[in-house]
Amino acid sequence: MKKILIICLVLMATVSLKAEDLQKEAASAYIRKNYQTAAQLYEKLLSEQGESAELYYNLGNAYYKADMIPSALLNYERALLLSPGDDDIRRNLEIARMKTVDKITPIDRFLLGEWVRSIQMQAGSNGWAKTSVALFLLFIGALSLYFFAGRVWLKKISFFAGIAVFFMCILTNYFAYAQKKRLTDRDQAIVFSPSVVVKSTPDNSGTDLFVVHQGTKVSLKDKVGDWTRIQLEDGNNGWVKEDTFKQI
Amino acid sequence: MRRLNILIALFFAVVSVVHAENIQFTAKAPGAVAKGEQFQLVYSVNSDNARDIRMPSIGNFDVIFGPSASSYSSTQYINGKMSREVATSYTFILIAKKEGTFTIPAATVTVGGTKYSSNAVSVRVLPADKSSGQQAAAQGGRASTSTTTESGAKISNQNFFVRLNLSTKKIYEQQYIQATFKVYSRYDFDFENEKYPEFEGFMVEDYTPKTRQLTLETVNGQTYRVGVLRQLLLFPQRTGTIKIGGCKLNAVVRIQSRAGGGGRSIFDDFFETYQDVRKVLTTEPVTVEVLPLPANKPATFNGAVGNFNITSSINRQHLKANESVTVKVVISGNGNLKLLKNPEIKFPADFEVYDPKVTNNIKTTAAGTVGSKVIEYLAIPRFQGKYTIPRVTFSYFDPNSRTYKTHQTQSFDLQVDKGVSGSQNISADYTSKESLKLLGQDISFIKTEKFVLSKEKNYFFGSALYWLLYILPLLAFIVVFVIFRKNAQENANLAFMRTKKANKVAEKRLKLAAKYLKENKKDDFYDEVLKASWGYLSDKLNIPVSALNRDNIESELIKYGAAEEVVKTFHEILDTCEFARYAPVQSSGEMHQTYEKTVDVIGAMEKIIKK
Repeated sequence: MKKILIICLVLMATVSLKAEDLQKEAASAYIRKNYQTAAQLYEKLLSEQGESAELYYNLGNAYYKADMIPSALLNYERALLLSPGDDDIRRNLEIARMKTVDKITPIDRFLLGEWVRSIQMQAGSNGWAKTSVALFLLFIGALSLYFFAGRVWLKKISFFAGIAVFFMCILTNYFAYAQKKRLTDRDQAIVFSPSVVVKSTPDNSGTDLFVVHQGTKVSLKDKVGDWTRIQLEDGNNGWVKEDTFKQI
Repeated sequence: MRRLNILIALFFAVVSVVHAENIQFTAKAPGAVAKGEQFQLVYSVNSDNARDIRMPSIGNFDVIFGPSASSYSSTQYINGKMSREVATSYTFILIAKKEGTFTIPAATVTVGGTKYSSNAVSVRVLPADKSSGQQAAAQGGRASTSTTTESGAKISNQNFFVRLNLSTKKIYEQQYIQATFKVYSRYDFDFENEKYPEFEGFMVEDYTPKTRQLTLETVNGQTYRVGVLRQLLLFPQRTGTIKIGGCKLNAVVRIQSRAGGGGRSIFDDFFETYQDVRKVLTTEPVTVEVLPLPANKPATFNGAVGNFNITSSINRQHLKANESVTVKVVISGNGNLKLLKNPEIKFPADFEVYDPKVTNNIKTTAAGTVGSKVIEYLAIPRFQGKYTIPRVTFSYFDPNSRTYKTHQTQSFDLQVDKGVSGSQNISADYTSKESLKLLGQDISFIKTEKFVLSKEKNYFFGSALYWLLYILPLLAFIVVFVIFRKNAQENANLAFMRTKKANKVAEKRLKLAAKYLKENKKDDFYDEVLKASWGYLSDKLNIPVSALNRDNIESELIKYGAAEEVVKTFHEILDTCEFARYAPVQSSGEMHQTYEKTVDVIGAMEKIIKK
């Protein structure tokens, strides 16, 4: 029994050691400007050890430096999904996006909605869920104060505070839900083919609508056979083959 | 004496050497002639004491005249300098005997005791015209009858036409085509109005010779006088099929005609008349296929097509701050030099760079546009230090090998010393700080701290713990709330129920009192009325009976808003009842009155409290 335990411990130690070594190795390859090697090592880490925002971010950097912009964009987007509030990821994603061909102007969104969205992007699902629990506890506290406090001014304060906290709790719950949905649905993709003709129907004989180039971010809407309906940020949509893009 | 002789000898030697260097002896003959036609062969030498000209043997030609010598001299004084020009020419008139291309070997001449030989001349002898062989062969050179019979007739297209010759019809973008408009004629002619196509889609370089010369050429067995009208280089500016429109020329042809038009008179031979005939010459439109350049363009490719070389030089590599440095880049070769963009030199930051000065030295010839483009970049370093002016990379497409080629110039190291006193301020004076210059943009560095990787995603939202964290506090709150509330409510309820039931209890007692009234049981009646009144007030005012007394009844009732009358009535009833219990027999009427009063006042109270 003791033996097995020791073996298990040693195994676990080597595994974690290996992960750490790989990280170090990849980072030093990156510093030595062997970007291809760094990317390969990070990919290996990803397939063997699992994912993390930092890993995706570093992988994106390696691909960017190796001039593989679509892969860089894909990994930055994945990193941002896991850690939406990270400034480094955001910045590098912006720079990588400048290297793409298509300039797509998003349709004007409602300002308030955009504002709410930007708040939503400040944290991930877990962060918002934790915040919502904390807010709920505050709400319970305010409720107790309202009911059991002897003084009238305390009752008043706790009443309004309770209402505010309650609505904030609902909002954070929505954020947590939305962020989780983003992670589970993965309904966005990066175009990988150098240029893709978007068709009006899920068929080769469909009318050519427009052309998108590699690196462009699209939303996935529908699926028929190996055809997928994509939508651009400017609202244009059409059908492309499945092998032209990679899901974020 | 002897010394003088040597000097004189030396002087002559020098003179003769100087003289010898300038002697040129050239032969000149037309490039092409028709068989049987006479032509001139001219030898010229730029000396007036040429002697003893010796012709080579020219077996394929008959010398029918010559040599006739003529000399020419002119002397000029310009700004006190004398220049003298002399020339002697010897003219031979020859007739070609056979068709083919023949070389007339060099002739020799003696000038001042030295023999000079001329260049050899090559003459192409074309076959004599089939239809009018006599015309050219005629010794007198007079027009033959065949021509005169044609006089009034139309000038056929076979005798007078224009052609557009293209060197190729399939080329790459920016490569060039030679286009030549040539007129072929068997008559004398002149043009009144020449209209050439627009050459849309091409950049055109014209290299038509300034003077039009007619040469002889045989086409389909006919000898024509051929003139080059226009010689162009066309550089296509787009890909695909490009059409070149036809040209349109209004020509005037002078042909011999016979006066009177009747029979041949003896004067005809002496008084030949000429007729001017107008004719419009056109060429057919032609299409040219322009291929796009291959796709694997290098990053530095800027549209150059041809064959180029690039060199660069710098005027100095050691200088002081605020002094200028010039980098000269020369692109030379053959191709679309005129359209080339200036290669960019990335001077170090902080260098003040001026717009480059461009000098074109380009010639257009049949072999393309040849020459060089000199681009001078002027820059002024503002601070001392060691700098490197990087290489210039220049790529072009070579249509011959169909590949892209890239040339690089060398890079230059620059040593900039501290400038003179005035300029030092720039680096030392911090009052004129510059705003931060963004030299470039790059992604942020990777995250080097150790990070934790996880294979499964765990979402806190919607997990059991999440729900527990919501439900548990809520349950705790509810439990606390319920317990607390129960106590409070129990207290509140008791009082409320008593108040609510007060009327009913009072009514019950009053009913009993009414029964006693009927039975005329005086003590019991008053007892009941008293109990009903006290009980009612106690229930209603939520004050235990033991704590009730007349004073607090009054104050409590007034608090409820009861009128003083009601309070007074209560007092009266209580007084009556308490008094009656100890008083002797009273009339049933009085008892009845008390009963009525009690019922009324309780009814009144109910109304007040309901309000």
